[in-house]
Amino acid sequence: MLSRKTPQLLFIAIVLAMLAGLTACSPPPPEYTEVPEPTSALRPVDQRGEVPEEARIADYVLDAKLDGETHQITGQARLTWRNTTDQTVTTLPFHLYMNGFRAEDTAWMSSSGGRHRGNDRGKEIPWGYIDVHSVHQEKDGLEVVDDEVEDAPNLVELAYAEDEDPSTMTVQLQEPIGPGESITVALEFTTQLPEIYARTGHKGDFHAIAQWFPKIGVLDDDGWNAHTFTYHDEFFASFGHYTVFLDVPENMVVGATGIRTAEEIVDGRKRLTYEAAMVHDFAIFADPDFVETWAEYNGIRVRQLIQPEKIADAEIHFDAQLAAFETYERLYGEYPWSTLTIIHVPDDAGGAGGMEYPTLYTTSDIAPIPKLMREYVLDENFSGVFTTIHEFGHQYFQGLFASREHAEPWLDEGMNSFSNQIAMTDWLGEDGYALRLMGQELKVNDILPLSMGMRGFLQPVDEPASAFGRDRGNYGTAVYQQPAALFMTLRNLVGAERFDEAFAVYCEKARFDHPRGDDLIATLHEELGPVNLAPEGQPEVLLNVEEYLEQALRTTRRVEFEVLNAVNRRLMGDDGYQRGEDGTLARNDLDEESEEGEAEEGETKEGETEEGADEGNREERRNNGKLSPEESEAVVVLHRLGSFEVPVEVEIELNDRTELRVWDARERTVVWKWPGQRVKRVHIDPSQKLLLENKKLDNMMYARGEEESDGLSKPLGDTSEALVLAALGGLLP
Amino acid sequence: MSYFSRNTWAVQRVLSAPGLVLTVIAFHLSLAFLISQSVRTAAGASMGRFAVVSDGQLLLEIIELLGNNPGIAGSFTTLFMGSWFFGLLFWMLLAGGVIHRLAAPAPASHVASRAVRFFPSMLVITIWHLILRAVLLGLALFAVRKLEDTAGVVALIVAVAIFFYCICALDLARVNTVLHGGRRFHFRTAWRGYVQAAKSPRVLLPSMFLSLCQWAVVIGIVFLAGYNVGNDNVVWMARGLSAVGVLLGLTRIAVAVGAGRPARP
Repeated sequence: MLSRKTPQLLFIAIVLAMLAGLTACSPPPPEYTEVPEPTSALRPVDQRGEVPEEARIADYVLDAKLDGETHQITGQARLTWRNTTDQTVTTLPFHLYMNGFRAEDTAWMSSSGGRHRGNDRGKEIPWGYIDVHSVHQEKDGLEVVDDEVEDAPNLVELAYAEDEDPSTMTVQLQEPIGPGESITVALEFTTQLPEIYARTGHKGDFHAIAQWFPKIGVLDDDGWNAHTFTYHDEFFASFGHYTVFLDVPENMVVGATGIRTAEEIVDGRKRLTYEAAMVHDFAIFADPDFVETWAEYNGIRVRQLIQPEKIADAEIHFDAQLAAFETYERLYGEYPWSTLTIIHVPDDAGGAGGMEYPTLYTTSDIAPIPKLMREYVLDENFSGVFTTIHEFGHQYFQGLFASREHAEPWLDEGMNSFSNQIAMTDWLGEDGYALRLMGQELKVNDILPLSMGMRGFLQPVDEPASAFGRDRGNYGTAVYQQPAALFMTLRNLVGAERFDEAFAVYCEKARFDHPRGDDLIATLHEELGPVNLAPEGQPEVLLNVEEYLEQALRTTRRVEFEVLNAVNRRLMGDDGYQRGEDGTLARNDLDEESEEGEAEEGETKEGETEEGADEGNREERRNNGKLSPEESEAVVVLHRLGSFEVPVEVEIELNDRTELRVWDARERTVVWKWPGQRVKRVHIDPSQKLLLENKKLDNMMYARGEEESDGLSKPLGDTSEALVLAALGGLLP
Repeated sequence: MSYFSRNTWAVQRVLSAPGLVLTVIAFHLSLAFLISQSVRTAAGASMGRFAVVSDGQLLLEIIELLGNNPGIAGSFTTLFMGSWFFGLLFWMLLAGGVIHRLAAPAPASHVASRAVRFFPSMLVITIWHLILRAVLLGLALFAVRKLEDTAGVVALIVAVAIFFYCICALDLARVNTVLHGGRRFHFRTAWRGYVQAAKSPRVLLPSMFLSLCQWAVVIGIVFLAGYNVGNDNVVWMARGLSAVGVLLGLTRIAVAVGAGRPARP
């Protein structure tokens, strides 16, 4: 028998059980075994391939001391620069990127409005700058003694001045540097880090030290590349070796480009030495709160510096990273460096997240969705891990294939985003999803058409970063998603294997080089040639790769198709008056009922009554409401709505077969007829190859009289009804 | 004296009023059906002769449809909110009659006249109640936030528990107004509902349990609909669950009806 208190006790037990279940501790994060620092900045030659000696242009020795209170860096740089061109130079341009944050009238500030990726300029230390104090030429070279760059007596002072915009400066040489010659220049500078809102700076004790030293421009056959730093610009530099002496507060945990070769504690300061080989930048991240974790991939040490409260996510980032190594090494060549560092920035320093540097990148956090919620309601494989894969991809697309980010941002961001699609699919599997809401999934590739729907096709993809500005809000779509979609489309059309082989040729050429968009286009055109897309046994439909890329990269043409009509008409025969052999006219259809209406099924001709149309379609009624296939002619009309000309597959379901055709789409419309057949359904791009087409709801149509559900109104209506019932159930009675 | 003794099962009160139950269920089903028809029609018109064969891409297609025709989502949202509003009004209109009918058998005309007579009172009591509920929830969550690490989970549990407690308090306040001569527009009537709920665990606990079940049904409908988009039978399953939810809700009110007159403070 139940006691009077049983219900109360039962209730309390249920509540306690719920509480226990909800507050149950997550499993502890795995223990990480430290992977020792590599001894060489590059992997062994049999693992990384040859590094062309002529690619090594700019070697730096940097000595930097960070003041943790003022967030200033006092530094010296010794640059040895080689002239590998046929030109003689009399000046050296340097980037002073940090000066972009110096005042409101710099090109970066005025073009960005003091905002970057949703982050506003800091209030406490809003400005950053780099102040160069001296520039000297060293003819015999300086020596590094006891980790210090020693002054030398044979320094020759050089004249220098900031350019109109302080993000660059020009050094006047006393003697020109001819082809094959080199020069060593020593610079002294102070860098003030701003509060982080655009990649670099500090937030409390966290320091993201990037673009912090004077960086020489890139000389090529067209002259010097030393762009003014504006809102969407990123960075461009020559490859070289770096030796960096770093002096930071003792409590800092540091992650930096390259490998650490020495570490000592002196007078409450930490002195670190780094070596990096064949890189074109050097970044440092320091934070007392970093927790170190490690993994390894084929001898590459992967070190992840993560905020303590995010430690449980470290393993997922490692999983994504190691999977990305597999894909990138398979498709784009060997990763040449021996190390890779992944940085997690604190919550209040989000402006530094999601950025790439040589052998180091910052990622973003995985959305904090509770486990139960992930299991049953909303799960996603995108936040955080996509950033990890994307920023790692930059180790290739710009890190290794060092294209001009400011001039052709699509060539690194776009091609990287394209490669990310493949890496994500490789990692998650063909059935993997980016987002799953109660069983309904968005695949990785679905993200592209969705994002293009926002601000796509407003400008050509192939524009310099400065051309995009911030007002249209289309930079991400034009530079990231659209190129990814256009190359995924091309890959789908020509076949993944064939495309990947052709693309690998480009990657091989681009390693440790500064490739251009035209190099990629030429390589793909050459390797792929005109591609016949027609199925076997059908007339040739050639895809001209160069023409395709020209449209996709340098115009704002859209890919957009629709089915204009799908209908079964009465097949016209020889009914009516025909002249007989004796020359007289005679009707040959008298034994049949009167004229067949020409109206399409379900339609009435202009001026005709419904009854008239019924009369015209009486044969349909006799034959279960439809003309027999022999009496019918299937007619399909396709319409190219967009001005982008690209061949497209079309699937036509006829009464006795399903036919796959490729329409070259040169004309705006095409009419296809099948005498003696009935069409049931037409579907443009049934395999969803054209990721560039972001409006696909008009790609399928049932023929008149063959209609089935449109596939959307019922599920939407049912779901709405259920949601209203749920809402009322919670409210009433 | 009430027709039912205080110890009569609340569910018996509900089952003895099939007309009332059917009326509420019919209201729910027809309101939901009407709203969904507008979505069906708008989506169908937007698709025109086009169609999709969703091969695992239904979510993408729905997003594209709603992106191309934001009016569909807009009208659904408006209607959805409208259904809540009209549902709330409907219930406040009906509450006096429902409580009267659950307390004792009565002809429909009598139930209707009670409903109309108590409508203004139900409206005012509900407003007082909502103010108290907001204050109570706010204070509780403010206190829970001090718990730092477990704040999220504890806050959720506390919020749910307080929410269900408030529902019981509202039921009691309404019952007191309709059956026991509680002051019809006074703030104190709403407040006494809270006091009585706190002092009557034998009413509060079954009421909270029934609220929990009711919400389980609501969540069940959402999950059912979410996981079975495109399934032909999903809407009928949702309708069935909705009817269960109505039964649970009416039973919860019947528990309050059976609670009797509150003790004088």
